[in-house]
Amino acid sequence: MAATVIGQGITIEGEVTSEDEVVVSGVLRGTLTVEGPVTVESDGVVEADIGAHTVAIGGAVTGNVTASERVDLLAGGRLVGDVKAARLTIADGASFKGNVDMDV
Amino acid sequence: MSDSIISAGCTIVGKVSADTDLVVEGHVDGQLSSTGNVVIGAGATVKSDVTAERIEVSGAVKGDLRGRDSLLLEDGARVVGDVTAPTIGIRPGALMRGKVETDAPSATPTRTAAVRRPAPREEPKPAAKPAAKKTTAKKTARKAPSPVMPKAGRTGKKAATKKRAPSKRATKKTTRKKAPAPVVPALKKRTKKTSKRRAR
Repeated sequence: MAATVIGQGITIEGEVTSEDEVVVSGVLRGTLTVEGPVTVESDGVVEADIGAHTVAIGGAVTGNVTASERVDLLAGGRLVGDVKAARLTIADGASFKGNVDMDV
Repeated sequence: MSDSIISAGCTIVGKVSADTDLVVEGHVDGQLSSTGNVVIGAGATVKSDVTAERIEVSGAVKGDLRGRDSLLLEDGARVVGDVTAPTIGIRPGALMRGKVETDAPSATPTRTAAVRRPAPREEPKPAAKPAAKKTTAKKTARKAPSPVMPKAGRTGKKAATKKRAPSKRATKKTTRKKAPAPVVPALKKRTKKTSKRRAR
C-alpha cells in the first residue's frame, strides 16, 4: 500500500481524493479527501479543505480540517482554518488560527 | 521520499504540474505537466494531456502525450491521443490510437502557405478595357445605319463570317460580354465584304 506522495516541486490545483495515505511536501490547492491519514510535511503548502481519518500538519495549511479520528498540529506547523475532530493536539511552536469543534 | 507518487486509489481532478519526476499509479483527470520524467504505471488511468521531459506509459491514457526528450509506450500501455516526441518507442503489446509525430511541431505554417498558390489572374484588365469600348460600341451600333445589321446577318449565314454574325445580330447585352473591341472594324470589314459580294 504505497502512499501517495505529492513531493517537492509538485503543484496540484484541483480535487484530490485517495483511499490511502497522502503525504504532501509540495503545493496543493483545492480539496483533499482521504480515507486514510494525511501528512503535511514541513515543506508542504496546502490551500484546501482537508477531510481525512487523521491529519498531521507540519507545514502550512489554509483551509478547514475535518478528521474522523484526530488532528495533530506539529511543531513548526501552521494552520489557518477551522478544525473539526474528536481529538486535537497542538504542539509547542505550532501556530493556529481558527475555531475548534470537538463534538463527536 | 523525494519521488512523487500518485498511488493507486488516489484520484486527482485538476491540474498537476511538477518540477521533478512523477509516478502515476492512480487516476488523473485534467492536466499533467512536468519538467522531469513522468511514469504512468500499469494500473493508472490518465484522462489528460501529458507533457514531460520523458514519458513512460504502461497504463491507460486518454489525451495527447508530448515528450520533450522521449516517449515510450510499454507493453500493456493503452493510449488514445496524439503522441509527439523527438524519440518515440512503442513496445510490442502496447495499444495506441492517434497521430504519431517524431518531430517538433513546425511544419503546419509552411503547409498553409503552400496551399495558397492559385492567385486571381487578369480578371480586372479585360473588365476595364471593354468597359471603355462598350460605350463606343453602343454609340456606333446606334449610329450605324439599321439596314447594315440585317444585311450582315443574312450574309453571315451564307459566308465565312458566321462567328461574328450572331454576336452582332444578338442584342447589345451579348455584345457587351464578348470582347466588343473588334466590333467597329468588323462592321467596316463586313460592309466591305458584303459590298464585294454584292459586286460579285
